[in-house]
Amino acid sequence: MNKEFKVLALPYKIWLGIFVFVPIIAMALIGISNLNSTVTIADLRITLSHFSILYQRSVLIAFRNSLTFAFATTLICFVLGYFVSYEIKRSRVKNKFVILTIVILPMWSNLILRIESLGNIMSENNILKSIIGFNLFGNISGTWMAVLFGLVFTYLPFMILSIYTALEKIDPALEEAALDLGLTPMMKFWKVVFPLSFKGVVTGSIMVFLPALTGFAVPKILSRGQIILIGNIIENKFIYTNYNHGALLSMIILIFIFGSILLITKFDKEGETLL
Amino acid sequence: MSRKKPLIELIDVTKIYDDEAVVKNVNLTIYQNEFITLLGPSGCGKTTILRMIAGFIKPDTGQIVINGKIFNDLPPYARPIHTVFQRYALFPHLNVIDNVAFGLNNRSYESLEDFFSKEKIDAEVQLLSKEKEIKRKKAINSLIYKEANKALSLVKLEGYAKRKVDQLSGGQQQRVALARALINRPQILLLDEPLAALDLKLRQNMQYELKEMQEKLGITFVFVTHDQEEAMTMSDRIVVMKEGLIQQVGSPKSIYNEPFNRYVANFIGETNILKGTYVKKDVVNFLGVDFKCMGYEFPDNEVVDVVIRPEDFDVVSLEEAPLVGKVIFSLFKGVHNEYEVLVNDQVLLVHTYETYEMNQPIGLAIDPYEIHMMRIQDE
Repeated sequence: MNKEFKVLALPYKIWLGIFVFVPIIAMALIGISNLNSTVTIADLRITLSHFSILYQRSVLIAFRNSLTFAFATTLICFVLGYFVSYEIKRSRVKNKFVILTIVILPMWSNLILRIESLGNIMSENNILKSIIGFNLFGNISGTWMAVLFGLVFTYLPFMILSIYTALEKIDPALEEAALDLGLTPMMKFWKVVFPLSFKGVVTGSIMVFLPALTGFAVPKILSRGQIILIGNIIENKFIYTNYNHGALLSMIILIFIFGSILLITKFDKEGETLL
Repeated sequence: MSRKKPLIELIDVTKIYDDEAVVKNVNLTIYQNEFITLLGPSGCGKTTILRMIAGFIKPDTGQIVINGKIFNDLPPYARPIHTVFQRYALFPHLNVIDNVAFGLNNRSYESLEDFFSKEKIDAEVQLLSKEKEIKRKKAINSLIYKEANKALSLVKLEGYAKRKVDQLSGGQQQRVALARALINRPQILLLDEPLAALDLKLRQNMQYELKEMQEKLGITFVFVTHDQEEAMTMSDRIVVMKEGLIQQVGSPKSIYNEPFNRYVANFIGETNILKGTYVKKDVVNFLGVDFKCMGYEFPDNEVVDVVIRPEDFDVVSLEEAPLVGKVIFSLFKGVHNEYEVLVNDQVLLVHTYETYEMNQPIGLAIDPYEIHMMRIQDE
């Protein structure tokens, strides 16, 4: 039986090797070598010269922008998401799955399409304005507000789902026990509910933080190219075939991702809140 | 008697869920320092009563009076009552000692000053300040953990303070839950089938320990269970419930020996219930024979239910026996033998030390004081 499962898992293992593992190694090597279209195999050298890109002002600003937007998005998603999750958990609606489906619903449409539409109703003349007569968002397209709104709009469901999953796992008897031991409902929340849902907050934060940090579509579309995040720089490096710099920056982003996964495993040893 | 001071009074309490009354006009008085058990099958409303006393749910009608005050609308955190939950409900994010100290840790500074008394806190400040300047808050904190350790040793869990709760066995978790409630010195401790998840041996040990603790601490225990043996072992009084109604309230002995109706008789231990006629004063006829009885008053010739416990039959020689039957089933139970005896087409359950073979005739007699009678009720 075990053997059969092993065989069945093989195709994906091969896939994983060819399309994930090998490319990562290749990227790491491209990032620290002088490989490009003019270099022959014989001239291939290891070089650390590409690291100079890390001192470039545009890259530094992009990193700063990325981190700022990612942190701000995570924080806003946490504040908005926590209380929505808590309300869903406490609601007396029998079928909470329906509410959660509504929360996830936007995620089932294409991201680019959603962001393009959002960008459209954020610009001066748009279809919504001609229907309701005024500009709902003002004319914020191209500003940092538009980017932040887009990021929160896109990633909030991840936060809500993770926190909800953690909240749902809390035994109602624990809340009763807290009240029984003399805690007011407010104290109960801070001493029992919040600590027990903290795993969900960490997982949700990472699920929001990482794509917000590394993505390039949302800032590109909503800032109309005005705000550059690190994802946009990497995209441009590859578009203009500067593979060495693109690869090096990607590897740095990858370090952020691995760091976050380490953080998750520290907080959530069973990996149960990971969706 | 000083112990007869009422502590909790339920007055005409009714609770309705989805148009169905799960507790119906219950009147019950619970006295100080008693161990009272609500006994009944699942769905009889016993847990609902407990939860109403704890304050998790409100009665739809009627009043819950504790210490002479109406408690209906008081939230659970304002009641001098603590609960030991069925599945213990220990906080998984805290270790054992923090679980035990949880109630005290979350009290206000003022109430802790009352709890420990000013002198004790001053003494603790003196004790600690030998090392360095110490604030009263720190002294109180130190007192809380001393108290928590005391509570742990009360439930025989010294040395487990720093353990995580999920590293404890069911019985140990049970003890932590008990310590967590007892440390707050509640007037009333509610226990919701706390032993149901333990294995038999552990359960029996815990029964004795609970009873011992209750006597030592002088706290009123309100215990909920569906296990009649458990109720018998521990309780001062038992409240037998069925479908939201109280069937009988009394000491284990009186409930066992003088069940009020068929339901109680059947629920508490094995028994024989026979149709009989109260012929005249101190004479009852059942199985076609007149028996002497005592202590019951019914109108002459009233039809009654006669209750005889299996161990109350005396096995006598066939010549002397008012009842002669035939053994149709036998089971060796270690201490005694369990027989089914066919007498006048009725099967009786008989426990005796004597040994009889299958189909052997057996003579049975019953002492007058072992015959219990109940008015017949529609069921």
